[in-house]
Amino acid sequence: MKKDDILSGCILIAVSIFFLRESSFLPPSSLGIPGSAFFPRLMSIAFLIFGSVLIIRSFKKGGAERKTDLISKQDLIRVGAVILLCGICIFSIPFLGFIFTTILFIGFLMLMFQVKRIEIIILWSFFITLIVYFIFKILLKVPLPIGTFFS
Amino acid sequence: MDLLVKGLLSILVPKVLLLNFIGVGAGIVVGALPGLTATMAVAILVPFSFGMNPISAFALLLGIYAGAVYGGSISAILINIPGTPAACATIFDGYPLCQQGKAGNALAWATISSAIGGCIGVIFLIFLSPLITKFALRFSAPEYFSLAVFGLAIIISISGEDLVKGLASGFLGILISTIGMDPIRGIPRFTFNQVYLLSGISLISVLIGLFGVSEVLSVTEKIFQQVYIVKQKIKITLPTWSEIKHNGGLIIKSGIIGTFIGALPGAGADIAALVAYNEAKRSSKTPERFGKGAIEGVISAETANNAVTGGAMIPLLSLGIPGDAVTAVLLGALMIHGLRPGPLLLTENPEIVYSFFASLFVANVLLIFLGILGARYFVKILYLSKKLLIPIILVLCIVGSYAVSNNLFDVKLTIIFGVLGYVMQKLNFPIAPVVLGIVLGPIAEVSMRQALIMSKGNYAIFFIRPISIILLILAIICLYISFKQRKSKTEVISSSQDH
Repeated sequence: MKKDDILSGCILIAVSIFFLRESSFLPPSSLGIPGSAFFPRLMSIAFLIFGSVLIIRSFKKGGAERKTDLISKQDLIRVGAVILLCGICIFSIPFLGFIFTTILFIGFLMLMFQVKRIEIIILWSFFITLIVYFIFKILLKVPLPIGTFFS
Repeated sequence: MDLLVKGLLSILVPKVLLLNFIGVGAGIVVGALPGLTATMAVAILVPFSFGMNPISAFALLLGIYAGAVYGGSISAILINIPGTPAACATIFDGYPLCQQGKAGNALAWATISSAIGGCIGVIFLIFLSPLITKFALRFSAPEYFSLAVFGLAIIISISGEDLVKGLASGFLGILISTIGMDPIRGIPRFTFNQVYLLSGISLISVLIGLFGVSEVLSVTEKIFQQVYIVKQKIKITLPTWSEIKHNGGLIIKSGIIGTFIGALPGAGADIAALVAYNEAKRSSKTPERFGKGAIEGVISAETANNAVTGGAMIPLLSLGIPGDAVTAVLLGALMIHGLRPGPLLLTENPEIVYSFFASLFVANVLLIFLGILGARYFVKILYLSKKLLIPIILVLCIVGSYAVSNNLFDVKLTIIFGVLGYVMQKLNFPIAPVVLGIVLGPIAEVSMRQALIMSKGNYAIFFIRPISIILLILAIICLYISFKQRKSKTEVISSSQDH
């Protein structure tokens, strides 16, 4: 049986149930004209069908077993760490501001990727932050956050 | 003709030409790097166009588009990895040519073919867009609904190996598009009391997330893998005029294939390149040379993939329906710059639209100069470590999505969609249908509901109008053919496993 099909099927069914429940609070159709809930319900029912098809299909004889894991544990940790770092960056920007957060963000990313030379990490962090700041703040006049800590 | 001249004159201004030039250069750089796609390049660089007028903005973005599609050929030829999916067919003969010490010749041909292919696409764009627009002005709500269904059917039928997963991806996009205010009743849907969701999910945040952040996460997985580059001095050997004439028929045929495949909603440069390559091989007197360093393989693939840039703009500018993922991003850019995509775009803003035609044409001309003169320098990009590149891309994704409406909520959405895109890739769900679902979903829903208001709830309205019924039948045929092809492929695989 195909593990990714089972997982996919379960996710689709879960999403379907969630959106079917949420769309039950929306006004129904009237006089034969679809209301606000029509399309979301249609898509949710389709998800229920697709999810069921994937799960049933995965148990059918002849389905190839996936020989390797979807992702190795090491790779998963690395990808998870990048996502976590992005999350920390987003939550830090209002407090520490764009410049400080970005320098730290780039630095930590490069440490995670095992860039060995510390001077490259420092130089690259400052260089990229400066370029991006110049393009967005000075040229494009995007008001990048200063941060409550520094304001 | 007047409008075309006006469009060209609006481009031939130093500032706009410079932006076009920068766009082509930036596009080539991003396209040359494996793992970074043309869609990602355009999506991440859309925020750079904020604050510009539409003519300057699209000079930059269309330059990036043309450059990125061509740029994929550099890594395809030198390291046997397509820089963008559009270069997937270029590796078949490009890399063998490199191994034979003919990398310079292959790169020169890739440059010239791409430029000519792009120009062929623009020529069709200039002539077909006004014709299709005239025809589309007769469209009403039922026709738009059927057109949206047709567009979704095409993208679903060609995306990935699994029709069920393709359908799920497309429908996911439609479901996401229902978040926000109901456009007919004005009622909030799935906003969970978040004020920022009342106007729906920002398309640019979705695009940067799905094509930018998710690709970065995929590259992060393989960050420690080594890439081996065949080291040779790149000496660009330009083809002679008689060689170009000798391959003229092939170039024109591949250009036409690329343009028409690009014009199909959802069909992109990768499919065009493969179809053109297969056709070149089939019609060649010496097909056995293909796959071993036949320059015709490089010519056909590169001409077709760049012709798609013009072809994909045809449905975008005449119908408001993107021809591929990149034009889906450009659709978002049109809206950001206050232009309403659809048949009225050409009638209400003809000078601006003709300037787009001119920008794409000029970008393909600039491609020849940048490609030929800059090839040996662009090659050095391949030596740049991904450990240095990934931070730049992530910062651009974060700042780019922030710049859309100066709101960190959009950045959070970008990261969420990035994770979603990454998970979808791991579970073998195609991503392109999600984007087209988000774009076509509102068109389908609003048109359907308006049509039913017109007909007082009678669904027959979709079947009694000729254009509408034809489009619906075509959609069903597309899905049926795709289902049959996949079924027979599964049967072949099962029977070979039994043996």
